[in-house]
Amino acid sequence: MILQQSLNALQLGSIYALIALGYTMVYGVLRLINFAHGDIFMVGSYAALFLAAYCRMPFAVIVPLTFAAIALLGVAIERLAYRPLRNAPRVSAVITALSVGLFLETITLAVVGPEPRKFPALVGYRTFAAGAFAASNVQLMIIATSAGLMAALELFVAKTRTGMAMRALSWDKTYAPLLGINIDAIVSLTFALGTGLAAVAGIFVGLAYPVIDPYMGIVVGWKAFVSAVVGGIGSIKGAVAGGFILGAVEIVSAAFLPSSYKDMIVFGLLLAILLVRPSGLFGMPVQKKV
Amino acid sequence: MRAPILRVENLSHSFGGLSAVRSFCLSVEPDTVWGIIGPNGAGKTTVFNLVTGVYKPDSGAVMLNGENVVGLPSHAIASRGISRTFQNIRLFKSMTVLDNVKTAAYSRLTYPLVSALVRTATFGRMERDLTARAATLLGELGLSDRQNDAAASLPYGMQRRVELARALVDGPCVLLLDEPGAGMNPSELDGLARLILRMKREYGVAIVLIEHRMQLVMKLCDRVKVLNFGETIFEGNPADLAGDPTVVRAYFGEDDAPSVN
Amino acid sequence: MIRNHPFRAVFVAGLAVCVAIDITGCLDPYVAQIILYIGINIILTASLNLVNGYMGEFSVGHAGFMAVGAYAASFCSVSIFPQHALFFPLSLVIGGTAAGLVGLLVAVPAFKARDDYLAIITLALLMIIKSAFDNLPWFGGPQGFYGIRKYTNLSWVFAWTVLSVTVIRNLVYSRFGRGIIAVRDDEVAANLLSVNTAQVKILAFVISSFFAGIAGGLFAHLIQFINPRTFSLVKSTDILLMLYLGGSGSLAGSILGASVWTVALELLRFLGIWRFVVAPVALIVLMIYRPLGIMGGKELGWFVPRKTGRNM
Repeated sequence: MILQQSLNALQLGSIYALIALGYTMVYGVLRLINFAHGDIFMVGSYAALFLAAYCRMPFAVIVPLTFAAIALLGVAIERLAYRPLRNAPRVSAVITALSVGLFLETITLAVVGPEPRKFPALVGYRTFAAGAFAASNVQLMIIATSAGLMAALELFVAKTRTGMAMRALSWDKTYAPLLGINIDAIVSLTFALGTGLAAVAGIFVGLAYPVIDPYMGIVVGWKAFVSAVVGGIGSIKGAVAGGFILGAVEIVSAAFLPSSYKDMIVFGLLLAILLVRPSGLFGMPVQKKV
Repeated sequence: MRAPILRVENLSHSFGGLSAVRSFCLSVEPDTVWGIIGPNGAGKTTVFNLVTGVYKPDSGAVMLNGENVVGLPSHAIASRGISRTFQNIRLFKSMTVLDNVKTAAYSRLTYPLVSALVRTATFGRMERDLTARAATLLGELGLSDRQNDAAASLPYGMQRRVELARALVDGPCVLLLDEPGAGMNPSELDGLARLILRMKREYGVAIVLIEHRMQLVMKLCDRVKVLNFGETIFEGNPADLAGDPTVVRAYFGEDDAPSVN
Repeated sequence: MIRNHPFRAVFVAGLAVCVAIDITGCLDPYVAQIILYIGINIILTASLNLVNGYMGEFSVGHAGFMAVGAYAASFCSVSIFPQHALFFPLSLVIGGTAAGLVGLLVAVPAFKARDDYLAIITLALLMIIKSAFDNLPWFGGPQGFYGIRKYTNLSWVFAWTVLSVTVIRNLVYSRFGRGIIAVRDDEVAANLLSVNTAQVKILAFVISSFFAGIAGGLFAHLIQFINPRTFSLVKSTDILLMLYLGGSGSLAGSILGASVWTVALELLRFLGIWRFVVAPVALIVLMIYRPLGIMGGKELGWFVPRKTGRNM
């Protein structure tokens, strides 16, 4: 049983982590909490649905295509809505982010309607059983792919020049350009990567919990946001850790308590963590010089 | 000898294993101006921060009028009579000059919330008195015609004067000035020196100032303390400062010291 | 009397007009309802302005306090008090007080956290409150709370709107208000200048939640049915949008933002769901060209106290 639930937790955690990464990366380079990110994830899910159900594309094509399409969407949003506000008070950018999210939700609602849709089974569903414990190939694929993507991202950020530029930008925006770093290009790339990962998460959600609706961006998105913060916003390790903690807490509380208490437990625990570690698990406490 | 208003006893503090201040002592009598000088990073501002409650010192006491204020929150220490200015100007940027000064009287005004919400006569009287007091203070500092301007719009020298007015409105008994002359040209420094002397004579405050400008220190200070790496290496009269070998070594290394102008 | 206290005279006159309209029912009910929504939204926006505007925080959980007020007031008027409009103000105040108490419980730990983290904490709080109302038996659970009498009318909304804006305005132009703004501009310096920042932050938060609770109570007794989904993140987002549309840190901004948003959404009703596409896009455009909102961060002169004289 525990093994079973662990697998579920890993699956859910992977999804939260992928979305949380997008939040954390954008915050790192722009100090902006992209409140539209959850809705971008939702749009990713619907984009994949569209490609699968109406264009009848195979799974292997859908994944990269959705990634690319949503990455493009992310870059477009940054270019049109966020870039003009880069020097404006932070709050204006936040309102813009909220508005973009609202816009995406409503467009999706207007186009597909509020009823939940069934996500087609893109992968032949197979179960591996070992005694009382059973794992589906979908679960294993989600966990493995997510782990792979996260590792790839970490390597990219830690080892490549562009990754180094991203990190430099997250530390200091004023002097980075003086070192030859093209802020616009790095920011666009960050958005592309972050939203692309969210799109993959959208596909995974469709596979694992085959019913999707236009409002799931709000719920899942905000939870992923909380994971990013609990992990320490701006920290990639933190986003991953936060995502898995959230997934674990949700699965455990769903297993032992009536499901209506789930939100209360999850958010209560998150608050408790923040009380003990006010800057998040991997966040850096900010020292103010007097 | 009058009783000291402020007595700092063996104040020590480390930041994560790095000792910032070691056994700092200071005895400030009313109507005296003390100078604290030393190379950058010597711990001077840290002493101010410890005394005003920004950090709680690892050990030591800060006796203000006989009461040990260590461990009290900063606003409580401030309302007991210690005011300060900052190395970098920290005016409230979105407020007017007048409001900046009035804000510092938060604890001095004692009307309760209800009075403010309902606008009682007490509220009106206290606010009017405060506005008059703040306006007078600003007038004495030559800022009358800028009092309704946004604080952020003032030139640097004027902003420093607003900071002074802000520190004075609460009627403190001890004034801690952190590099009040920073960024000033000679004529502004002159004005500042006259101002500080006037504060000492007319307002009767005891003043402790951190300064790098030797002219100011020589002109203003009755007594001087030199800090280096958190330790006090000299305490005495400003006149004896230039000759002291420890001080010279601290500032200039092993070379001969140039003359103090 | 009119010359010495113009404000009070106008208020009494306005109230008289509202009472007359309520009794005669001469105003078109559709228009009346929009005005009621405007009033409620003004109270919500102005109260959020205290914390998000004047104090410079980013609280996302305002709908949560609205929910507490709505449920508490409804519970009182339906299950506790006799069924009469006379007890309505009492129910409202109890609702507001309940919301204020929750605000107090939240403020104390919340303000220990860093800047951006207040958003998370208030968000988490909102979710917990919603979850609580979903699960607690006395409030109808996810199906919602029925049978609320329609006590909300023009007079009550007018009175409470004027009261809340007046209280907030009087707070802002007092030592507490200066303390609140000082906390926004430089909290450390404020502390060192005798401002009891902990006291000030809690004060702002509690007053803000109190009035959100009042608005919630008024809202519940207008639509006569509430359930946890009514007070979701979308509602919090609405209030945020109204606040920044009008311009934070300005009461005139709150009044304008609430009015413009409410009316615009009504006028665009013919677009159906597409109004929620047009409205955010319009807001984005506004943010790009006027990031500080309609009032641009400035306050209407009428609200600012004169230097001398009675209107202080």
